[in-house]
Amino acid sequence: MNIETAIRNLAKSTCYQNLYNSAKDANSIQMFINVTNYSGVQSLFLYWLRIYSSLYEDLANKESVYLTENVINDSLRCDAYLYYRRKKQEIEIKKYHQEKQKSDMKVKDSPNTSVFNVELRGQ
Amino acid sequence: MEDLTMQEILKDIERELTDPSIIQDNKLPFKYNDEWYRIRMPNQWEEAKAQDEKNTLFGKLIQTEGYYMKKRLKQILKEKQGVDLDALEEEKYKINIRIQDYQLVLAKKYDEEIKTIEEIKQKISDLSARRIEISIEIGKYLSASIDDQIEKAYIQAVAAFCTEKVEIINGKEEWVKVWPNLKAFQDDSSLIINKVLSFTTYLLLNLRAY
Repeated sequence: MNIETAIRNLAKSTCYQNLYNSAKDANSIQMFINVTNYSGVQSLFLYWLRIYSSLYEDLANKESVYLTENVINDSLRCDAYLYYRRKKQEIEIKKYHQEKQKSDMKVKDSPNTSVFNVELRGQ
Repeated sequence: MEDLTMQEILKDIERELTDPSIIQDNKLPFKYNDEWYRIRMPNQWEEAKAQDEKNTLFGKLIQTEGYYMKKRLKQILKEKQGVDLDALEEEKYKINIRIQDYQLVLAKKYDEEIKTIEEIKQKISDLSARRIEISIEIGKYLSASIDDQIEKAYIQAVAAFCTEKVEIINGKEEWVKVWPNLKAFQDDSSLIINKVLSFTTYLLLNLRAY
């Protein structure tokens, strides 16, 4: 087992996920003995803690039919799901912007809409 | 007690770095020849001194014949040795794309599709292994670059300043520095140096790589 696997296993464990959620809610529970100057290992752990927290949240909210406990427990499937989720989000954002652009154009082209050119001058 | 072999040290590193204690604070504890050691994050003064070491070496190497920055070293390797590192980077990039394609297929598999899942996972693992091989190959060629040399100097300085061991002082256990200065660290030829450098690299791991 390499260090990243070990960190990921700790981060997805019930113990640390509960601690993380309590820390988020109460904004006071300390995760580590040190409060500043985190080591690289600790930063990596915090990164995976957030990632797994978001995955468990997705799972609870049934965000995707493809996300199961087995996916979360398998690093390769988990990475695949994270990549799929990111791509899906990118497509949704792109679609949203395209639709917004379209509706803005409609408003601008509508005959009932007046467009004024306002020139603002300082005194 | 006799010094451990390099292989035993590597095994130790792997075992010790999977212990939950590695995250409890910003120190990495480890055992060497039955004694407890630890590497801690540098304080501001130590950090500044380590940066100094890095900068001083940079100033020296940049004026020394035969030392090059990564970019120039890549060009020389291509012109003089026919080693095309850009082509290797390109191969790595293409492997990444293939991995991502497989990931999109894998992500949409249901738990019941065990056989297909295993097949795709195997393909991803094979590609990842090839990607690591290429990274190591590139790393080997570029390890002589100024960029890599100064990074090594920084890690070495942090390791020298921040490695401590337990000693009994006036009947009490205390953490004391292993080496009084960088020179003493550099003069030490025991195998503990390899262990300390590996642990320091892990301690300073950063998210840029992820």
